[in-house]
Amino acid sequence: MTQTADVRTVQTEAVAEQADERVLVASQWQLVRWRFLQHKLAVISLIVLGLFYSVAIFAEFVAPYDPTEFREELTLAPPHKIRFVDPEGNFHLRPFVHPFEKTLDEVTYAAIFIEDETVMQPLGLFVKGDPYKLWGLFESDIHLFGLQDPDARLSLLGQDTVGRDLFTRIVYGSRISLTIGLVGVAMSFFLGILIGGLSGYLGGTVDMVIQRIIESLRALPTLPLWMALSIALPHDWPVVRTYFFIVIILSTVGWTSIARVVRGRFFALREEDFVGAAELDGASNLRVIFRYLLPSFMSYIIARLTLAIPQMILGETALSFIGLGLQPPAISWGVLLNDAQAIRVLALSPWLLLPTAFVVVSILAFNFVGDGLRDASDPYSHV
Amino acid sequence: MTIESPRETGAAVASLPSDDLLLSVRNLRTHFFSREGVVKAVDGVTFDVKPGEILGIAGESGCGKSVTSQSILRILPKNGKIVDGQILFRYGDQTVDLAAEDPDGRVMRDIRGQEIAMIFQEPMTAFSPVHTIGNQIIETIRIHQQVTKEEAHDQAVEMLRRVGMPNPARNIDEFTFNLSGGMRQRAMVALSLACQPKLLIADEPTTAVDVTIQAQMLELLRDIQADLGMAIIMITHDLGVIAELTDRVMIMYLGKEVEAGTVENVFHRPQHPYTRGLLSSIPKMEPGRVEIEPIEGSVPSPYAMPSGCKFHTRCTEFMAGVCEKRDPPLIEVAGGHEVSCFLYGGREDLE
Amino acid sequence: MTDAIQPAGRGDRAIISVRNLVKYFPIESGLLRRQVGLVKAVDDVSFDLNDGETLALVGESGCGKTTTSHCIIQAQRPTAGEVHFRIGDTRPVDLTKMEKADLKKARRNIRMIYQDPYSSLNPRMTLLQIIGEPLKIHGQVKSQDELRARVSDLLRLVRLDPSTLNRYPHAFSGGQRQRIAIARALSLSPKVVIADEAVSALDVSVQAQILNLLKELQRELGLTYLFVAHNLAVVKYEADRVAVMYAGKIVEIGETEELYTCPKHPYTEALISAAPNPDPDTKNRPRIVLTGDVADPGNLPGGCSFHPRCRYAEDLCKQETPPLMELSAAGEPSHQSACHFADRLSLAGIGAAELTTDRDAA
Repeated sequence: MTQTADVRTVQTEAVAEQADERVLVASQWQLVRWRFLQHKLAVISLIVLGLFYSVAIFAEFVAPYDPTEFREELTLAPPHKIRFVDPEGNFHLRPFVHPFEKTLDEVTYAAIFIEDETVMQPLGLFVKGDPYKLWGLFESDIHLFGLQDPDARLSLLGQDTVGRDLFTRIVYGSRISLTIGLVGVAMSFFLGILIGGLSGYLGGTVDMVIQRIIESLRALPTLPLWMALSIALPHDWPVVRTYFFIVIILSTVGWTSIARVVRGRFFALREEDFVGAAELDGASNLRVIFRYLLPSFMSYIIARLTLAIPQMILGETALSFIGLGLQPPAISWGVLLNDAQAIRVLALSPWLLLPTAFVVVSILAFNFVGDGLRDASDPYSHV
Repeated sequence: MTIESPRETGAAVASLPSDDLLLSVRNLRTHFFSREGVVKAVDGVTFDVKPGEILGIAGESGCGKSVTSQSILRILPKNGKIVDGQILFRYGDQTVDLAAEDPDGRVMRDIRGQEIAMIFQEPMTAFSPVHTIGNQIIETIRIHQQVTKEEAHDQAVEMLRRVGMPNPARNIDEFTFNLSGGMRQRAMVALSLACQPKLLIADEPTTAVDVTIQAQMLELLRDIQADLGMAIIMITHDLGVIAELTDRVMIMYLGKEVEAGTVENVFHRPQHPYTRGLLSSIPKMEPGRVEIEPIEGSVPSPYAMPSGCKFHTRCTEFMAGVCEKRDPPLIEVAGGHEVSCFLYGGREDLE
Repeated sequence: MTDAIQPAGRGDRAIISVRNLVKYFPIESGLLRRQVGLVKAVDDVSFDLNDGETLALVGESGCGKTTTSHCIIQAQRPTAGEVHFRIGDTRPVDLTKMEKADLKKARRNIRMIYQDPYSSLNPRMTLLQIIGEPLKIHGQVKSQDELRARVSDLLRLVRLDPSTLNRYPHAFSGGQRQRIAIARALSLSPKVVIADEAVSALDVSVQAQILNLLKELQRELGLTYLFVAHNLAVVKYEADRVAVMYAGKIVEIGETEELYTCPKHPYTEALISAAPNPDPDTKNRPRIVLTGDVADPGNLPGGCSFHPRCRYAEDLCKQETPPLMELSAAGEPSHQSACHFADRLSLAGIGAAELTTDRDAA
């Protein structure tokens, strides 16, 4: 029989007699929280994500304009420079912009936007603008920020190919792009735990059949699969319905990895002495599953899920980018990027690629949060 | 075997306190830095090893005995640092301070394997599963010595024979996973001895094995030591193993030396309350009923170290106003028998 | 099976009688899980566990001691054999034939302590929940207040501070965790406790505390222990009787002092000789160092499984498996050995000045 007396690290042999009472009676979730909070990058990322999601929730209020309202004369106008110093060199506390004046290049007929330095249009908070209905319920025309002159247009991140405000559209696009991951992951989570749990708990033939199905699904190349499935969607469907079908398409593959994790953990945990002890205590199967097995890996599963969300976001972006996902008039980051496909556009109007930055930031943030959660999810590893 | 002059390899030059020493660890402090705080795993440890002697380092988990050996070989985990002290080692006709060397530098790489070798608790970790035993022993020999492949092969077979492998010529082409537990242990010893090191550090080599295999291992170490004459540092929590194998022993508790001396002195005339407690905690293999007396309490958390003498929280001889005030000094109670305890002095100005 | 062992139910003091217990694990290989061999983990083991005693099962890894203990409590179902369990004057019941519901009741009286105090306690439950779990499952408490009171009593029983019952296991050291595991095992006031290497993972100073605690609890509560261990010195201290196992069989069983001083099986002699002794004076004592490794229960040698390593082996040992035979006279405490030459060999135990044969003679 092996002796393990000295295998343990200094940390695990810690006797916390002198440690403060708070830690001693801390539940698993408190320990997870404390450890997560020590992961600086994850905490910052969580704040970034919080910000992104608040923006998505209050899109109508945060976006300065209506996402569909276009101004032909501002087609492909570049981002404004936000200024504090006027041409005479005076400093203004309130930032302002100079409106664009459009001319045509005499040789190429390309539009050239020149700032009209004679006019100063100051920015403001809570300004009046396009009327909207927040969540389809509350009518208002107050926007978080914008130009004080409701008729002028602030081009924060430039204008798109038909003169719609890109920042506004990114804000609206975040609604679909950020929620598609959550909904998709929720579906994967449900399917994964159910099927993986059955597989791990029942074992035998059921387990073998489920494992073969999972292997087959995972063997399919995802992009062609998604493409095939999305081509099958009728183009005249309303946006919401297309949205849900895309989520289902994205989840077809997503659940398999969760199911595997759940199954593996089920098997591993059944070998743990405390599970064996519970069985000898006379605990029923259901009690063992719900009181011992599930709580033991729930935190880990949540960490895995967080890491799965970016995949969903990227999936939507990729599908929409190649024109097989959501279609205009729906607005998502992928749809916006679809506009940036032409090389000519990219060369002349690089700001059309800005939605990518939002995709990157949100995905990095999810990854960092996921990392932090994963490290924290087993607080007993070295407390 | 040729040894390059340490001067040429840029080794730091220091001098050993005495000419007849192989290794002298002076006031070693190795700390671990983690999010939870600083763990002073080794906190001011001093000991010497003479050529050809067997020194035991014993203590319970968290006492720092393994970290001491990792410090000597400079194979500490990333968050561990030697913050103070010297590790003076006789290298050829020079003395190098291993604590001051670059862990990945030329000198350390030369010393590891050739001058100081290590055997571990789990033999499988010492070998690569995708190479034969022979490959690895031959490679080790050729890294350190200018010999042909054939010569190295012969040396490897000879070493396998010495550690008692049943059929060295055939065993040399086997993979570790084909060997039984006892044979793996022997192969690991052969690998560590491939370059005939002057010092062998054995870190709990008998902990994970059965009693009969442990007995084989101890016999092997005894024989090999008599045969090759290298010094051994035996690190273990098992005082039985210490008594069976070593000449001198150092008992550690929470990163500090509590007592050191010849095995006979320490086991028959233990002075420190912790040593006495440890010895009376062990059930004896003697006829008749021998009661055991445990040490009360448990080892404190490394993040909440007691002040003064680290053992005072569990000590039966605790003297209020003395033991918790400051570290006890190391006092020599008999020739070469040192105890770190106020019972034997050093408390005059505190009372 | 030998005649020396009394049939089930006749042993007056037996609380558990194990008869011809067998546990084989099939070795399967390939996609179709074809059986290619058998691991004979436990092979025809019979013994009695007497009321109020500590019987140690001792042996090296793979000898079947842990599997035997698991087959007694039916954590693993044995391949064959009987495990009779009896309380007081009631009729013995065979645990191996029991249905789940009856087994649940029987297991109130047979409880288990595991080796690793880190893996045996659910890190997500407080002491109150961990120790209270069996009480709740078996409906032995009516209210939360009663549960707290019972758990507090149990914590006091194992010398832990009852005010710690809202703490989680991570707040405790290895030794304290093992006390918690003991409290959980005692919560249903069992008759028998199986301690499966219960002190092996602990530091020596803490190990001594737990050994003494187990003894005190035995005196206070009249417990019966089946003490599974590999450390001979620990077993010597803790057990009244010892059963030495090798390759799935009991090779020797007898009273502790008798077995240690006058071993009757060469394997026992070798184990005793190999156990390191914390006394430098015995450093140069002659030792029996067994060659080779512990027999592989998936591929046992014929005859006596120990013969390839035995320094007394003769041709008979390679051909015939020796049965467990009674060696002591009627009226004396039983001492049985499974060696063909048990009554002829003079083997060295602890305290023996010299080994009878020089080890080179082997």
